[in-house]
Amino acid sequence: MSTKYLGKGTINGPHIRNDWTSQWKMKQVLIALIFPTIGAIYFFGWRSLVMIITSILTCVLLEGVIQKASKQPITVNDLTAVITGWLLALTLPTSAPLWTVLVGDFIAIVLVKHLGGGLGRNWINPAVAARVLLKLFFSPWITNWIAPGPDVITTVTPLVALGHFSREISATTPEWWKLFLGIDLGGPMGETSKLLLLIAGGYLIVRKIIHPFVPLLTLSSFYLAILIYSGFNFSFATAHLLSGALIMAAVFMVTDYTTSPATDKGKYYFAIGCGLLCAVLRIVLDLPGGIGVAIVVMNLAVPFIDQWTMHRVYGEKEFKITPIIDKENRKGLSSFK
Amino acid sequence: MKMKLIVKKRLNGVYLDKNKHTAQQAIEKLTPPKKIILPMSMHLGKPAKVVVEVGDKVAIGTLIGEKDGPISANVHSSVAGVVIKIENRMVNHRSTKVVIIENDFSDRMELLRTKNKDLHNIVANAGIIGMGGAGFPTDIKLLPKEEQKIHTLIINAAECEPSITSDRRLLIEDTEQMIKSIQMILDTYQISKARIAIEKSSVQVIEHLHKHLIDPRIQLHILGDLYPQGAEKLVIKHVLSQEIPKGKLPFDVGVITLNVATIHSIFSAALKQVASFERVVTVSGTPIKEGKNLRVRIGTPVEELIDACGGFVSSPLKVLNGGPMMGKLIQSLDEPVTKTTNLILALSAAEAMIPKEQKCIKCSECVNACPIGLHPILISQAYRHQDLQTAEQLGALNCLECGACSFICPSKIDLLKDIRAVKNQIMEAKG
Repeated sequence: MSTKYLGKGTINGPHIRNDWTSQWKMKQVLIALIFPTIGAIYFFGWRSLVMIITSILTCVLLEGVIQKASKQPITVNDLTAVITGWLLALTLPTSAPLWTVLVGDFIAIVLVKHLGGGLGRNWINPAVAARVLLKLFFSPWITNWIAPGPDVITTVTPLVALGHFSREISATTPEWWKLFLGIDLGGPMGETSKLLLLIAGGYLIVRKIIHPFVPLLTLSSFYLAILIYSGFNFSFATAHLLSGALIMAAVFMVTDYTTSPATDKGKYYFAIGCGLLCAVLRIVLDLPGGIGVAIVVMNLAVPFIDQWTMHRVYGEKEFKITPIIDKENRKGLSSFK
Repeated sequence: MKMKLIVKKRLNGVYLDKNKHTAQQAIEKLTPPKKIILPMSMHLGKPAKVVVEVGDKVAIGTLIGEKDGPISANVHSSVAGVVIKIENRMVNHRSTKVVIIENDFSDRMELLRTKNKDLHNIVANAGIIGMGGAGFPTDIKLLPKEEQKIHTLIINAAECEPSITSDRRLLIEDTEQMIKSIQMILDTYQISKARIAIEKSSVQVIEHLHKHLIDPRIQLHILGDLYPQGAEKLVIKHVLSQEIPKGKLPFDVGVITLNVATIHSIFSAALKQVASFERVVTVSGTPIKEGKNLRVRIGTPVEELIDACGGFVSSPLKVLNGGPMMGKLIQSLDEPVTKTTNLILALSAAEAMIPKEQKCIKCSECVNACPIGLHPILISQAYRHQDLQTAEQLGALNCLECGACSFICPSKIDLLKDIRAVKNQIMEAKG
């Protein structure tokens, strides 16, 4: 025997591991986020980059501080805080004061993510919840939409132009290709160019980070609902589809791992629910930004969706409904001391 | 004759690097060792009862351990020589009685004497067990209840674990014997069809079998390249789109599944009256100088196999009995090859490195990977909260221990370790 063999280590398999990591997955999301960021800088100038960087740094810092304070291992290098901060900044207009970014980051990281149990245990998508709460409480500051360009011209978002219980496109609604490309649109900095968001989504699908059906089902269920409501007015429905945060949310937020159901089937229901609820909120309540509220509501329904869509175990006769198991989720509040 | 290819829907699992580096290596006969170590429990069930004493002269095929109870198997000597020691030893992490026999290199052969010429009795007498890894005594599989009509024989040639090539070599080199053996089983039990389940990546074997399969009853069933599809329960699901109800055996749904090596042993036992005393073992891995497929006497120390392959060129972190997914660590190289050893795999430190665990990000990769539809992360969480009841409700006891979940997890959580632990706890609690 040429080499001495010691025979140490774990006895049972598997003895090999896949070479990807959670960080790798998160890095792919960061790469995808570069596309809408380019759009933000192009349309709204360098202030958007300042806001994004501020938001990312705040989120990482808050996460570090909170983990240090609660004597948990510090896990900022898992990059999830970076994603939250980045996403949140992209949903704000460049006219929003910097302090709204800080407040949003605090809501996202401290209130939603860590009081909700920490990584992988929070019930609600931090960025979405922060955005919804910001809108609720700080509306004049963060909905002070400006049009792209050197001069600060106050404008309205296409969704506002569309809205108010109509079933027809109003005269102020931009053409669909302008909506699609994001030219001359007011709105949150990362959400105006739908093309860039779809490229980002395509990247995530190619990298197998997100399931292609999830954004597709969100968008198609939304589109269908609006079509039916408007009596198959295709241009109206298309304008709705291309307006607001819908596509951004469908690509980056409905697909969030932590706050969506476990099985593929569950994810489909979740996506359809988000799309339909968003349509209802936009039509019935005349609530722009309905997708945010829709996602938060559907987030809360995830444990029930999980319960109803569990895989059938091999050899078991029928589908068995098990009680909600994810106790760690429930422990959220108590684990934070 | 053109074979009918049936490709069925995809089931859950993971894709692994196949690493079938030894696929072209013809089976070589390994020189019998100076002494063999025969464990009395190579099979699932009760260990065999030792029927020889120190000093007894034995030949190849002499009964050493006798089947003890219904779920047990005979053990025969694989060399001619003298019994020099009977002791207790750890083999494959189980304490078992072993009989050590010194080889006199005369290779005297003792043929099987079976009073009753039923195939099932011959198989029981020859000590044949499932040679794919589980080690379930084969005679039980061949003894269906009276009322049960068997409609399909599935020959499991999936070899879905990486690196293993012993079964495909047997199929290529001993094709005639394999087919004869299959035909014999079909005739004995009046089964109308046989399906050879084989992965589509083993192109060479598929082409070879196409040329040789003339009997219309025997057909190929091409599987994907998924792991784990070679597990008995899964191979049945792949081939027949049918599941075995919980607590039942394959013959309860009219199926007999046999591994390639097992069929080969049945041929030797039924037509040559030879007991199960040797098998083909693949030796592979980056630290090994030259990977080979070796025909080895049962009980040969692992060290002899590695030496026959030129020894190690670099220092291995682990040497495994079996594949990288379900194989077990070999603690010392004087452990013997058993009837279920299909692969000796050496892994370098880089290959066998297990990274540090991180927090779950709920990506549901494990849920999509589990071949039997469990939610591994939920079972793991239940275990970590010591909630045995929930773990059982989640079907922890059904786990096949294939390791797909631990393998795929991007946060490197050893889910299978938790599931194994919780299974043991549940079984203990039940008594």
